[in-house]
Amino acid sequence: MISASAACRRRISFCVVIAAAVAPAGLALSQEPPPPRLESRNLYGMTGLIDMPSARMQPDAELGVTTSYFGGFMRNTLSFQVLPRVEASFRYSIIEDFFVADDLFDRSFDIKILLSDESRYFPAVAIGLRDFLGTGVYSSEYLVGTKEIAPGLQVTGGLGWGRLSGTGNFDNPFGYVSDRFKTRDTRDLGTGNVNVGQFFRGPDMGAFAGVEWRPDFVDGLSLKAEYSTDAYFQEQVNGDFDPKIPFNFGAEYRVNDWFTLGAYAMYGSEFGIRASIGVNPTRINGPRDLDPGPVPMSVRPPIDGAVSAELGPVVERVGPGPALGSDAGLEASLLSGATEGARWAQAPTDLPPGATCPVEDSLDVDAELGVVDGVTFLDRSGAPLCSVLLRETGRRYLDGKRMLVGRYDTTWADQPANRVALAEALGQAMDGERVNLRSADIEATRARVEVENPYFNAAPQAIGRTARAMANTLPPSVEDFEITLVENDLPTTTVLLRRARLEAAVEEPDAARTSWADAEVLSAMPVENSFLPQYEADRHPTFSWFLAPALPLNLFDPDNPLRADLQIVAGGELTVARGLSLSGSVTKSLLNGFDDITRQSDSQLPRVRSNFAKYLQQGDPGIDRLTGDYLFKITPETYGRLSAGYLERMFGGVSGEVLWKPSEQSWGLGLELNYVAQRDFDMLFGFQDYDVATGHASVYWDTGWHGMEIQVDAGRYLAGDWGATFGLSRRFANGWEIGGYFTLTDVPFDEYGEGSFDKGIRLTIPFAWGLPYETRSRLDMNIRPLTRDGGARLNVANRLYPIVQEVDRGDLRADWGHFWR
Amino acid sequence: MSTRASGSRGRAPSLGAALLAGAALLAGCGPQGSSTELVRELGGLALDSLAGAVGLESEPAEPPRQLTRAEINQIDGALIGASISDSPMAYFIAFAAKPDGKVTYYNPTKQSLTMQGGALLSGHGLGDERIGYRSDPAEDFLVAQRPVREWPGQVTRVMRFIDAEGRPFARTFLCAPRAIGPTRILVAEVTFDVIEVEETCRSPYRTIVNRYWADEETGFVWRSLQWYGPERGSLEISILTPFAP
Repeated sequence: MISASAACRRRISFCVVIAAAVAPAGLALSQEPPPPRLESRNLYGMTGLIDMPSARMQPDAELGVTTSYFGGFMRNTLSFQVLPRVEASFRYSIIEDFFVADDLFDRSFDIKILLSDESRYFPAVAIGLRDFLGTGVYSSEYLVGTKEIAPGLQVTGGLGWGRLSGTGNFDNPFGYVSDRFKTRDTRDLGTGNVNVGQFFRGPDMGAFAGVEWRPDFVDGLSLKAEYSTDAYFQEQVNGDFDPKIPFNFGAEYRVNDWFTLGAYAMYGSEFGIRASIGVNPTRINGPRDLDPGPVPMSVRPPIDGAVSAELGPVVERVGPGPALGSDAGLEASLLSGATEGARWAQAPTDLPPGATCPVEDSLDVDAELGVVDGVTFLDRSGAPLCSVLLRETGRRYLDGKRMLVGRYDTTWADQPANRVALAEALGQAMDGERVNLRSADIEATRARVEVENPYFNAAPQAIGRTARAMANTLPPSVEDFEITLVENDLPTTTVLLRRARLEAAVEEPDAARTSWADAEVLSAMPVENSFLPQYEADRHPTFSWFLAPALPLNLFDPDNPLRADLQIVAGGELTVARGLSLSGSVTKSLLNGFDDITRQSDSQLPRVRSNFAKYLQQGDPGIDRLTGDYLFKITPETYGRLSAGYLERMFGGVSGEVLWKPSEQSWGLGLELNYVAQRDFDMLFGFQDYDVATGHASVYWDTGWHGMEIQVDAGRYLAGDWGATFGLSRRFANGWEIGGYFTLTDVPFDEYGEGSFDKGIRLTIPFAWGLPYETRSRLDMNIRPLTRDGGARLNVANRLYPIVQEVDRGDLRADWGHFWR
Repeated sequence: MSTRASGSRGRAPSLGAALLAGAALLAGCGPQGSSTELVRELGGLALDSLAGAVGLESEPAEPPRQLTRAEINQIDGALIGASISDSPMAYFIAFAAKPDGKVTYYNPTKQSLTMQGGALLSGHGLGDERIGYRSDPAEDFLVAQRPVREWPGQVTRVMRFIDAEGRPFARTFLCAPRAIGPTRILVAEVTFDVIEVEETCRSPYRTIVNRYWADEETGFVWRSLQWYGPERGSLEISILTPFAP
């Protein structure tokens, strides 16, 4: 009954060809990725054995939080697979009795780089720096290799310097190269510098090894054993830790993709435990797309009959590459006025009316004229005999012809009332699509709209919903859709779409690719040159408010490393004209969770941040912010902001900013100037005696490489110090952002105090990532190991770059897969 | 660290009103009629009729009740029913169509399914980001209908999704249909004598099983169990009123 045909005896490779054939230029279409191989972590929270590292890496972008404890050592680690070959972590450790009677509260950073992948005969090899930025308590370097020698069984061996040369050691071979390598700088607790002077130095080097076995019979189980070269010298001297043997043994169980537990026998004297949570921005978490879908898009009636009158029947002969033809004796010529950059030729023939279309002759014309997108052949009477479409670009010419020749009725546009009614119907349709229509101008063949996206995490989804609503609502003669995204009242980016191309793409398997290829992305015009008059909802004045809980944290205070408070935040915004608003928020603590902070600032600088505890304790309730703001566009590529009032919790004054960021460009420049005074600790309306002029010139660059973005801000900081902040972050198309920054100013390290300079980690998690529903809400965290006064920047709201960065060409391109969702 | 969500204005999408407003404008402004537009306009009217029939107006309040054949016959337009696992059947009305036979079905709760012939192409609001489907019509008996005896022994089905970052990717399955045998099925009170076919599809990381209940002579698939995506698994789709272009 069912027989196999020859055509069907194909292999996966054929399918890959099918998929590759439609691989988008802008949107890489890949095959289903293999399930991620989740490697186990060590007690330091990095990928590794038990106390020793391995050469394994986590899946790209894996973010892990690990807590471990044994023998008086608690390590809390945030680790991130920055790139497929780079793993980094920040750790906050509590070492009991490190100073005989006192505990050590230590912050440290690690990094590990995969040098070579595992191959059939050779292990994966990685190099790592442990505690390379910090006090140096865990300072060590290593070179490690890992090889899977049997299914589920992998062995690791490595060489360690610094702390990892405590046992099983031998002479550091680098010492034979230079005497400099024979000594290692002593720890300098409190500096927080990069410990460059210690790397790979010291009299000794240790050799560690270990094995990990994942038995088949218990899914998720790992058994580990290792030989450790960490002797825990300092801890033996001052504390109670007494390692008996250099061996550790452990069993770990991965409960699911994101949670792992481990138990260990450590150094023959202690019992250890570890818990790790791992999430990945690139991993799907359960069902998605449970929101209401869009109204299906309607397609206009075909008008090929009318087109045929000018072009004749259209034959498609679309093939790859340039045509190889010869001179057919046709006096072909290029048509002028071909639309959308298409090259279209006309070729008279001697054929009678109704003759068979000389399709193959089109190749000769193509060769003769040097690549054309299509040819219209004329019969001997000069009437169109037929047309041959040679390349995809020619479709635009055909679409243009359909518009011109089809003669859709446009008389409706003569009546302004019709246009307004259409705009209102469009606004109603867009309400159903959860996109707000801000303004519209509907003409006979073109419609321009401004839209706000209050709901969708990916801007292209809002654009797509808008385009569907326009196609379903506007008359057939409206061919060009110009959709401008409005963010914070600022028109940011305009996307031009051709209706015919959308109709051709809808429900096609490569619809995302083709719709992106056909879209034009431009910087939006400033408001005063925009097209608002025809339809704009009566919006001003508008008032909005919110009431939300907040969970502020106070981290890394040695008296209590983790404090939390529960606050209620109430705020409102009154917009009196486009871009002009008055907004503020008030916070009230519900738990007074910060009242027990007793540490006093010892800063030698103006105490612009280090008195934060006084604000937390005395500013309850307090005015977080109360400002008047004006956001505007100066040119299509230039944005401006003016703010005045109580700009943030600790400072008030005036602030101005200009940003130059063309939508189609991957980088931008900004300038911000502020004059501010320090607010009273009660966070009400008074000011202290300290005031300062502060500001920065900024460079923003989306490198386009693994989502890496670079930001450099140079200028004067709140304490009057001059310097620059360097930030590197990895942004994911779904809104996740993980990055770090550091600030170097003219304040000497010893004057800055503990930590030497300001540094931190930023983390943004969009709620839509973990929910099956759309929302633009997100969680923002800025984790600073220390809050000091050097390199402190004003925290002004409505900074311009974050407003525009998610709707520039690069971000739209990355998110365009959502266009038809 | 703080989280904040502002109260958004409550919007109660008036689906029928918006669609019908658009349809009316199109009808009033556009000089041409077309099968597509007729389907859409009909879809808009029928959607409201369907919503009333199953007890949904514009927002889901409770699981829709099951329609009788008499009620189905009173609904203008093509109608399909779809269910996931053991959930009640949801009804979808043909709402938009393209000249190449792709038909998008829509329901009052704003879920949609697009099919070409008997092949499930994509969907909205169903729990997986299934965005497209591609196959070779020369071998895909779901897209190009043919008698069951002419169904090939192997079909390549490329299903498209978007990943957690919004990037499209393809899952490519090699599918081997195998006839189980003749059987009789009941579709909304109507009995059909059909051939049951089980199709095992393998990709590098996944094996799925589809089932089709098709008319032996025409190959028309009256009921199918088709894999929709990794999170929601398979959809059971019943053709209650076939689409007629």
